[in-house]
Amino acid sequence: MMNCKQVAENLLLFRDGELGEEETEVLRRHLHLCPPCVDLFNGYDELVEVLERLRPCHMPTDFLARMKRCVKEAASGEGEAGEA
Amino acid sequence: MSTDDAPIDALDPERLVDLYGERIYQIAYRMTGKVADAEDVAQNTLLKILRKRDSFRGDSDPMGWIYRITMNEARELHRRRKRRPSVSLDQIPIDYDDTAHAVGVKAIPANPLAGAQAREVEEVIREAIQELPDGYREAVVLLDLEGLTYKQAAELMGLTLGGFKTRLHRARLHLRNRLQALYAAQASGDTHAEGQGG
Repeated sequence: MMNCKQVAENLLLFRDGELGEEETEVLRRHLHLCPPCVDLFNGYDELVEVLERLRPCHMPTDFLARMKRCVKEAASGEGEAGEA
Repeated sequence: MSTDDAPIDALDPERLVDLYGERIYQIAYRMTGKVADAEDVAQNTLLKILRKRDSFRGDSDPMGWIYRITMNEARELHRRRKRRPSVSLDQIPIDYDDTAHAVGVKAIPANPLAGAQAREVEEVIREAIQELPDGYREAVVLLDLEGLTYKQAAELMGLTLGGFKTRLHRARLHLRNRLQALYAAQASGDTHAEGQGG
């Protein structure tokens, strides 16, 4: 039988399906009997969903053009330093 | 993780930006949480790649190399900004009684919030990620935002798989506690109390 501390330590693996079969069953039994751990698990699940919503990432439209100017200048500067 | 094209050490600088600029910006944004900081980190990363690409071993994965440089630049920016992690994650942030029974865990609503409240939640979690110590922030960013596998993320961070999982778990639990505090604050109508969590 797992206690709450052991459950908390294994919740990540349980959620992501990376826990062994036997441990998964033991943890599942604990969750049937322990409302605080169910709340912990549900909150954990909700967090992962919030994190998924944070994935989209919008780059400023002119960023690549600015970076191209920057690396071009840096490369030509290095070239001149090498020739000097 | 690889991007197909000529070897990185043979690329024209502008082609380098075409191929890797957006990915580097994305990693930098997720590591720093701010557009201006992401631009700084991405620019420094591109310049460093340009300077050091002759030393890159052509038979290894360029994205792994690029991730490491971007992560180091993000760490450096956090140091320059004097951002100090406001949390210590040496212990799993849950309270237990004498029988190792969890106490103080509160339910989080199962139904996702909508509109302004959902955006507030996202902003609080984005900020909370930035409060994490470097190695914990990187674990969350690599797995939860970048979508790498456990194995890829652990290798990038130079950790064993077990060590990586422990770090990710503690970071996620901290973020979960912030979420719990925010939801409790929203339920009580006090939207400024979310910073008290964790």
